[in-house]
Amino acid sequence: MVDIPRHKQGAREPGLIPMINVVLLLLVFFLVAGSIEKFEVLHVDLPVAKNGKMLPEGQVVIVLGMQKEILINDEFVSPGDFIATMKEQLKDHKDKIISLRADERLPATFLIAIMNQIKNAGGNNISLTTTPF
Amino acid sequence: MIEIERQLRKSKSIPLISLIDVVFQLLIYFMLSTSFTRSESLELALPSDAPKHLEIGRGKEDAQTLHIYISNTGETFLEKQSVGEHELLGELRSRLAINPDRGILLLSANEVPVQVMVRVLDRIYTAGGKNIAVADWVMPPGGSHG
Repeated sequence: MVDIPRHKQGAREPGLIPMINVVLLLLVFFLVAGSIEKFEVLHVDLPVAKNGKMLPEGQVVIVLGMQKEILINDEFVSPGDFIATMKEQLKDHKDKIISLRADERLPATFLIAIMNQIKNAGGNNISLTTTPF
Repeated sequence: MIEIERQLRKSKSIPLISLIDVVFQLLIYFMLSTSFTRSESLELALPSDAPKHLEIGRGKEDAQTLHIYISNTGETFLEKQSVGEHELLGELRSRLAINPDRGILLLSANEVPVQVMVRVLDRIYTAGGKNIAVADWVMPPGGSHG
């Protein structure tokens, strides 16, 4: 029977408290620095721009898919119902921030037509979401 | 007596292994669900926000307004001249240096993708353009600037 000294046995154990400290620090980092990814109803590749500004996310988010799909606040809308739905969204106050998330491959004229319809529905505070260069 | 004391002491201590398990689970959840991608926005003027003279087809277009056209092939025209992307930046800078509030109307042909329009918009912003409006443009049958 070999008698191993007690202090040697202790030295082999991982330092549990520093490990917990590190893990908690990582946890706090992810909690503070990241933002939880929202489930995307429709994936769009946003256009790239150098001069984009960090603006608050719109109160009305319009997603325009590559195949000309239209989503208003994550709900599919047919082109015929677009103006009516926008009027409904803007009935409380017309100055709501409207974020347009358009796929980079979508024809620009479709985006312009949507902008004209927003104008007809009474919206005026509009921004086009981009990704930084 | 000693046995009871030992058991009491054991029940008082925090179960460290379970705590680590929970913390690890949370850590993995946040690592997987967190995104660091950020999106920015370009402020766009609706045609109604633009001065009346920027609205095309009204017959009263201001001579001061700069017209930039993007053809279906992605070619850009400043007024009637075909310009490359770098040329466009230089030209816009020199014209906006005289009058920074000059209106700019960006006209896109029907097959121009959003990315191409945004790239030109980006150039205009880089050159210092402020008063920007966008509109669609029906290309003449010849395919070149009309």
